[in-house]
Amino acid sequence: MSYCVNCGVELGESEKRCPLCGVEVINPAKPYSEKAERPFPASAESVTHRGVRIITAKVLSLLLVIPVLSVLIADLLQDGRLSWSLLPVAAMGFVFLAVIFPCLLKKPPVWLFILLGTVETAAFLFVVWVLVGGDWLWLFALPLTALVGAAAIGCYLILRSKRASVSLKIIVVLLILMVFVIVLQMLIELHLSGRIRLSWSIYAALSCGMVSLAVLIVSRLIRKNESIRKKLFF
Amino acid sequence: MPLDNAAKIYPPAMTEGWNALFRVSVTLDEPIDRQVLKRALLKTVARFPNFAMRLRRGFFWYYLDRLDGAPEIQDDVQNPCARMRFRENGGFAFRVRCYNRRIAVEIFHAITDGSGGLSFLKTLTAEYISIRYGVTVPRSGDILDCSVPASEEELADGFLKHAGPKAVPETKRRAYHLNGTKDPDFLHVTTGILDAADIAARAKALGVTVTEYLTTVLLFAAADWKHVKHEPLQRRRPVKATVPVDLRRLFGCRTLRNFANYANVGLDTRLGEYGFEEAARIIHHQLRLGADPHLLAAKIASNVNIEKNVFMRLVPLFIKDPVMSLAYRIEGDRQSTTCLSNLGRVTLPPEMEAHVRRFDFMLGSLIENPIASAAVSYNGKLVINFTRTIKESFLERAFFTRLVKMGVKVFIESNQKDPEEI
Ligand SMILES: [Zn+2]
Repeated sequence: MSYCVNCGVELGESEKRCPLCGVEVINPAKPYSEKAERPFPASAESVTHRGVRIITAKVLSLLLVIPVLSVLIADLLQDGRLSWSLLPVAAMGFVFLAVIFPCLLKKPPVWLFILLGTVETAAFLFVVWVLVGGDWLWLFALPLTALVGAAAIGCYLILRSKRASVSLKIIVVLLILMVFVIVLQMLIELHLSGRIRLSWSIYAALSCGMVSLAVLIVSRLIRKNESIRKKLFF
Repeated sequence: MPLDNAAKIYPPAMTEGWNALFRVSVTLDEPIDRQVLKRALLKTVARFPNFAMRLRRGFFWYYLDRLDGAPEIQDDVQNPCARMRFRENGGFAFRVRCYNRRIAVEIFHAITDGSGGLSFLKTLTAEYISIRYGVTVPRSGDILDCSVPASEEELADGFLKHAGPKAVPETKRRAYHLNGTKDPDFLHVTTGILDAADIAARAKALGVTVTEYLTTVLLFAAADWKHVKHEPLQRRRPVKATVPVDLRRLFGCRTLRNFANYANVGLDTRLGEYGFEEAARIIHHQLRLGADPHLLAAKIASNVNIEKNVFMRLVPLFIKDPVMSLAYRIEGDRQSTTCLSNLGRVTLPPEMEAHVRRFDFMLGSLIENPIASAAVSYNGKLVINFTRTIKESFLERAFFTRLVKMGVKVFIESNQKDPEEI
């Protein structure tokens, strides 16, 4: 008969540590013995979700190999060289990286997921640019991809934060949206006309700013005014 | 056979790694003879047709299809209630597991609820004891006579029969959520054994039932968790516990299938500190209100209405399935912090009492809430099992140490792994 010195509960003979607090059971009169019958057998049933995901990922990759090979062979048969087929192959590589690769990771954190997606998109666009050419990549496509990725990570980080209140989350997301539209129009204008002239993004940004201001004021009011708070609680 | 009203949500909600399970087990005085158990199981399954069923996908709903025989008896494992794959189990939605002197039955919630599961286990034990020791065990109450077939009433869907005239949906408010380091692949079990008479006396002194007493201790433990985290007052949510209410006695129904509803009781910790006595009284009244048959009939009616809804009936399963799954995951059990399911006191005829030492009841992992607790008392012992899918044992510790401080003797055992093994 041993007790936990920390919790005051009597412990089963098979308990080496107190299951409640983790403190080791020390009873000089009755040292822990391995022989004591345990309430549960020592072997556990393994529950792996990962096995299934890996199998799914493998099957999907195999399925992707078929169109990749057929496209390459078709292109080769045409004139004996690889030309147009590189584009669809790059697209399928993109699908592989974006969909199947994350399946193989155990528990990918969402920000890493977004980051990978952004990098993969950029890489895909780069391949397309190498094949097609043009001046759209460096000044427009890549900055746009980076912008979308950064905005997504920012929104995700603030939304999952446990410290931030709901109103703060709304305000930060709206501010991110504000910056997003302004930079978006800057990029578009720069690409189309080579100059930065802001028009519609101003209105969008202003309305975002106004809404976030309203949220800020309302949340302040609620914090002050007990009766409104009561009505809005839950 | 169609699934009963409460069971309809469980098949869509299940995933590759999770399904809603619970477990009842009995410990005898001698090691289990598996050959005898196999024979007893065959007879018992024949008496409980809802157990002899395979879950199948229809075009509009899941349904249950008749299945002969019984599942193979398995070795018990360290982590009970791990997801059940029906394919590995001969198609059955329940499994029987043996460990030394213990027979455990783990049941998918779509076939029955805790009371139905206990009735199955008691009947199985009665069959086992009568074959093993050659005694005649009298059958009464929920120990069923396996020589007669199941009646129509026992297989009826009690929800359809007892739905009230007016549907009143529950108002759901979100409750405080317990957070911890997730460990979803291993169900940690902490068992506390208390003196049933002592707890009953303590509850009686406060004018409450044992369930109400335990629920109060549990809510205090959950509220302690909250204090540790130092939530600011304006963002505190109430701590609430889901307490299943067995509808069989309330409605005079003898169904073997699901027939339970829930009362959601709680304390609003924004209102300041509660004393234990006043909290116990509040929980007592909340549970009484929750067990009002008229209110329950109205709640049942609103659940039955969902099933009878034309839209729900006409939409094919392959669309309904993901939608219901998502709805369950979003709604889940967010309106409660944890759960306490008490099966109450088990009484057995003396022929069985001579061989039965202990009963256990535990819940598998819930969808959102990381900790659940379940209790059953027998032979003067109240056994309460905490099952959790997080690493932190804070809630059990707060629960049992509070009891210790009040002068209750607590005995603890667990399925924890040795640190060296990890
Ligand atoms: Zn301890």
